[in-house]
Amino acid sequence: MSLNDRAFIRYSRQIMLPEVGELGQQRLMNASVAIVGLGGLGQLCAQYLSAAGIGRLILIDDDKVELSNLPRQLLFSHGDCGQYKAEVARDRLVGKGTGDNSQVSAFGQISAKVVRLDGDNAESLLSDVGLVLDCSDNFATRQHINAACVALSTPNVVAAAAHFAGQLMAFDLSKSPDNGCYHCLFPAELRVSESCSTIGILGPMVGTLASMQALLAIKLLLGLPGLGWLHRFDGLTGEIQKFALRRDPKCAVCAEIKESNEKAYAARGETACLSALGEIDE
Amino acid sequence: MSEISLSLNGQLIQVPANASLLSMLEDQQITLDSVALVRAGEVVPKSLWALTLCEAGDVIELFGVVAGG
Ligand SMILES: [Zn+2]
Repeated sequence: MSLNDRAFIRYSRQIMLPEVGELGQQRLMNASVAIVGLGGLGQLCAQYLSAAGIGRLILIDDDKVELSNLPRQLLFSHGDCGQYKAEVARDRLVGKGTGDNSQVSAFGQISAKVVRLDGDNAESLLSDVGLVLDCSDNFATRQHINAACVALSTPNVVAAAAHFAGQLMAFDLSKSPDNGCYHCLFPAELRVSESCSTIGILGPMVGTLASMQALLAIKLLLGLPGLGWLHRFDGLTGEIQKFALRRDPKCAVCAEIKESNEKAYAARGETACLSALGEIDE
Repeated sequence: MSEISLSLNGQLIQVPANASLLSMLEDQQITLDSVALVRAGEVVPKSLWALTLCEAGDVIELFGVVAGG
């Protein structure tokens, strides 16, 4: 399927990039992405990804818009207070595509799931997407998202912001096993003291992390590098640090998965060798 | 016993020459279950702290998880 004229014009500034091109744009338009959490991070990521032409977006959040959200969650208005964030976000993003060619933008392919992601439903909620954005606002949900992504072998792009501290990282055990998973870096038993509801945050601070997260997600969808690093952004000094992620060989979440993958690869390798030998014999 | 110096979150500290990352953190009275550790730009997973020796000139950073969004 090639891009029609309207799509070509709409996405021309993206297509112009050698890293994207027409093929890259088609990749984005064929991509399926879940966004968990429609707060400060998720509402902006959803806008960027939808506007970039991502084919299918699933918005997952069980929260309602509150007055105290409005200074940083710019997709929502005063009149949305009391409505479910996922549904408001879906309607607003669909509205942006309305009237345009149906092939353009994710029009009609944005769905809202008003449900709290937990250990029981995470895998089924995330089972049919190619990439997950962890835009949640608490440590427990982040662990559930990670466990599901590890089990499903789905790439997980994680961002977080509180106070003037931001963190960004991406995991994909199938492409980058040595970098481990979220639990390798932050085990579930780690003590956490803050979240946006208990610690202050400025809109542009969480917006900065959301923009970095959306950029990283688009890069990974295009097959560009971006896995394996933890970025720490200090909003007071403006400094960004970049650290290499390392798998914990004893990680309770990914150690077994990686072992079983390795055994599968080894078995496949063996079969390949045997059949190669067989061919030589014949 | 001989000591080596290393940088912990930008502070120069002295530790015994054969100290593991874990014993160094305990000496510094760091709350172990609240931090991740980076050494020379690479994350050192928690299960390796007891097995990894400090080296002179190490640059080590500790930080907590940020979970908000
Ligand atoms: Zn892990």
